[in-house]
Amino acid sequence: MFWTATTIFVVAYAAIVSEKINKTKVALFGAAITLVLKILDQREAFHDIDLGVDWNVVFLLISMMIIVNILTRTGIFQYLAVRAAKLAKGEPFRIMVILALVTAVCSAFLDNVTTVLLIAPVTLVVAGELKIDPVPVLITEVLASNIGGTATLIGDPPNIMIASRAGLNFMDFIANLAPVVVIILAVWLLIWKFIFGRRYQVADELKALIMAMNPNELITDPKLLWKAGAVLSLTIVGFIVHGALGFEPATVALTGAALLLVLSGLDVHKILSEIEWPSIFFFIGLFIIIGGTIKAGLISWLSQEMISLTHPTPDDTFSLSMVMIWFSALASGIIDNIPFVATMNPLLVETAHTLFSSPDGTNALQHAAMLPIWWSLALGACLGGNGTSIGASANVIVVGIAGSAGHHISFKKFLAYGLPVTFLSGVISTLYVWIRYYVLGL
Amino acid sequence: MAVSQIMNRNIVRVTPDAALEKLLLLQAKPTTRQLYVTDPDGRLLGIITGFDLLQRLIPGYMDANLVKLIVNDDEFLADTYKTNKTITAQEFMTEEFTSLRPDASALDADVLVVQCRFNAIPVLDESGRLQGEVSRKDILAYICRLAKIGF
Repeated sequence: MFWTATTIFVVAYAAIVSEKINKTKVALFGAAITLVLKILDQREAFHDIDLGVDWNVVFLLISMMIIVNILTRTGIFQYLAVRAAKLAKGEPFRIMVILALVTAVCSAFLDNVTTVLLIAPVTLVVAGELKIDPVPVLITEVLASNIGGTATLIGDPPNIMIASRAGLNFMDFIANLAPVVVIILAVWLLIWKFIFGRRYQVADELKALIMAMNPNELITDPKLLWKAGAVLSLTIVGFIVHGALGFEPATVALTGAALLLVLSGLDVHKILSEIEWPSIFFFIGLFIIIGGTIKAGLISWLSQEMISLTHPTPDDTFSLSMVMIWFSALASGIIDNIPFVATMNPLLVETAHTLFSSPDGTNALQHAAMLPIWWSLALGACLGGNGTSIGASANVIVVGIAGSAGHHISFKKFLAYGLPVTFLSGVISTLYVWIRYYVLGL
Repeated sequence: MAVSQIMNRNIVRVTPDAALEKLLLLQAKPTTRQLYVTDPDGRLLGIITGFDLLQRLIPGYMDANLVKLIVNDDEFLADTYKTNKTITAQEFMTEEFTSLRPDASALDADVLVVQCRFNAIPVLDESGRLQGEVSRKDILAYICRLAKIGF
């Protein structure tokens, strides 16, 4: 069984990385073989908490997709982007910074792809009016999107998966990841000021064109905006208090999505047909393949190898944290961070049980020495996506949008922006984890 | 009746290296339905419709909401033309197309037009050489003849 499960896992991973076959097809086919060969039985795949599909992740993703889908129909993203450009008084570098911040904040609470998908086109229009090169602004936005998405539990799928597996709540993420995200954004944009601060010179009459834009026109459905805005706010409040009230994040999101479906009066067929079902089924297939490798013992073997390599002890997990940040960042730059985190999660669960299991029944996954490792994984996996133009879905989307407007962003060009920013994020994350958890012990 | 008897032989052929300027001029004529890209032997390589050209002149990111922000519409369109000026027919022709043989029936053509919402279907011989096209209007004219409706 060990070798069969390992073969399925390795072949599926290779097929996903090669991008020769659609990744959802690969994941579902791998899952089907895992079931047919009885590596996992159906009950384990569908109902076992440790081995099977993580429905918390699946329903949280579907629910947030429903909320975002309805929100995009209101024109609010375009409104915010134009407001940002006007707030910057048409000054290109200021526009770059404010759009980056708007993107980062939206991405922290909503899906990164949707955020850039709606803000990038406005950027192209604004850059077109100002007659400036939109490429640096677009790349800045997508980098900000991946950084902002790191800050919260719902900001990026890796965080949703880590939260569900480790039992961490929304406020845990805010308290541990938001501070370092703010530091990274601040340092990065300060460096950007030296690079781009004086690069753009724009005549006053062109700036006046931006000031003449009326963002209010972009709100397509004010009534729907009120409803969607209210439900999104309530959902975010729900996330903030879910830990205290004893609800899982998926319960909060599902309630928000259901409420908005009822209140919006929109056709449910239309909304649901626009959900990214291929991504959802990719998750489902992946969970089953990985469940097979857990049951077959591959994950516990890898965990033993990782422990013998980094020598973590209940008192010192520093080297494991560091490996987690840099290895995750490197891996996420090259492959999709979702299968990566889906594999690392059970690996860390196994490691936590080996290192921190105690007879008094305390939760090994949330042991004080284990927490920095989870945060390191989240930081590495989310921020590593900035490394290359294929490191995160949002990057691929922005490169596509730029291309459709005649601005080709080559792999090398993206690398020139993304790699230094990823390296900077990694260094800041390393310092943050080291100082906060290992020096100050907070 | 066979499509060879109702098809329109007066069609517009272009070479794969035809530039956007030429394609626009040809497609803008009221009588042109679609442009047929053929090789030197007359084999059909691809089709370009008016929709393909219009789509090319609107950047992929633009939508009905965002267009409200464009101050100077004419300048915007002229700019997109300039951006795309160098593209040639082979770069954006549709290479997957449905065709009919000259001996197919008029009913075959009618059903295909309705089912796939085609404007016109190319008619090709056994070696893929373009013979003509059957358009919606050709089929309607044929039905008029069948029903003995005249002007």
